[in-house]
Amino acid sequence: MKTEINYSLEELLPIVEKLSIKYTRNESSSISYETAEQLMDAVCYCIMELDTRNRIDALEENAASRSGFDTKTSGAQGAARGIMTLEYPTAEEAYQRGYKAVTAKVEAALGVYEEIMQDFRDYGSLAYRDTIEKGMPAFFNFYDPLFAPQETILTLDYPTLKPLDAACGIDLLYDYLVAIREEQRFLAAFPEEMVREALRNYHFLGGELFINVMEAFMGEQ
Amino acid sequence: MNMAKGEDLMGNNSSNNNSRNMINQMVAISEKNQLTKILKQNELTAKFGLTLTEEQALEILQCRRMNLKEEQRIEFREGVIDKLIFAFCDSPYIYQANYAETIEALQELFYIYKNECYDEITDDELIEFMRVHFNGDCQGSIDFLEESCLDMLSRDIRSVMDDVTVDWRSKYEEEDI
Repeated sequence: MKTEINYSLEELLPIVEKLSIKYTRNESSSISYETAEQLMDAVCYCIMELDTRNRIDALEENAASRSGFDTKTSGAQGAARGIMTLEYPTAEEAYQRGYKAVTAKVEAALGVYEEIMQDFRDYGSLAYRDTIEKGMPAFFNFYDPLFAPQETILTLDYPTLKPLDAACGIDLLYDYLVAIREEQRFLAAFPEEMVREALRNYHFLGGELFINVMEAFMGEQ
Repeated sequence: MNMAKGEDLMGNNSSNNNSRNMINQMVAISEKNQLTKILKQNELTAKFGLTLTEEQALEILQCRRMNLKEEQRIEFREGVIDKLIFAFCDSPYIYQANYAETIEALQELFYIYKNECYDEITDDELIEFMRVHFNGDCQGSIDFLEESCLDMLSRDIRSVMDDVTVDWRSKYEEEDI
């Protein structure tokens, strides 16, 4: 999903400046270009996170009111509320709210991950095991929503069945984990040995290849 | 400013020019109150027989801009000129005739070695290190300060950066930084 932010440089710079003070713990008056870029990217990421979130909220609200699921608001009221959530706050407000949205998404991603790990099965795929069991805890340890929310950190070697839309950061990780959760739910409906067998039949080195287990399983059926 | 999510701010596309302009604006914004602050330092430094004219202050600011550009750094706030002036104004090796040019040279060294030390050293620590050596073993020589002391400091910092068990500061504790 491609979104844009509509704030001028003059509005964004004070936020980057404040962030740079935090970054250097007020012990350095200057930062390198690379750090400035990283911090500017962090600010833009948070603002765009809010933008994306607002649009999704508004769309969901409108859809709910149209289909009659939302009994509290009529269609017109729902649409009005949707428009209200699309109003642009100041850059500082947008950043603060976007940052909260990012941290909330991290919490949500952690929830999804814990759900996956309750009954995670790698079906003999090394990439699957490494990405989920080793990579994800490292991600949650090192992910920095304040100074580098745009960093994905992981290479996500294990592919999902469908390519993910999200570009980077927690957006990508969240979508990835949701896709993995769905995959686990689907595969759990079948005997584990049947899936393992399908992976082996797909290729004799199936467990060592960077292939999607569900894709291999479906291909064998 | 329109930027696609995940797009590199200094990427290989047209955003490159925007980023350069952004950086130039950042530098320009931080220079707004600089001149007044530098000239105000004259009240303190006059006690040591040192003053800067407005022309000299402007030249120092111009050098700052150039140094920042060369070293690819951005300074949002007032910068370090007033800190340098405060730290070095009582140096026995600085007098009115070499005052402005020494501050310019020290400022240049400061930015170079902030980068060379990979930002592992704070502004105050670096200025204090420079002050102690400039007034001590360097005996007022900028070249010696750069080629021996600062060079050695940056090498020490870089060499222990990967080893978290070693604290480079411990080596310099005796030098009071």
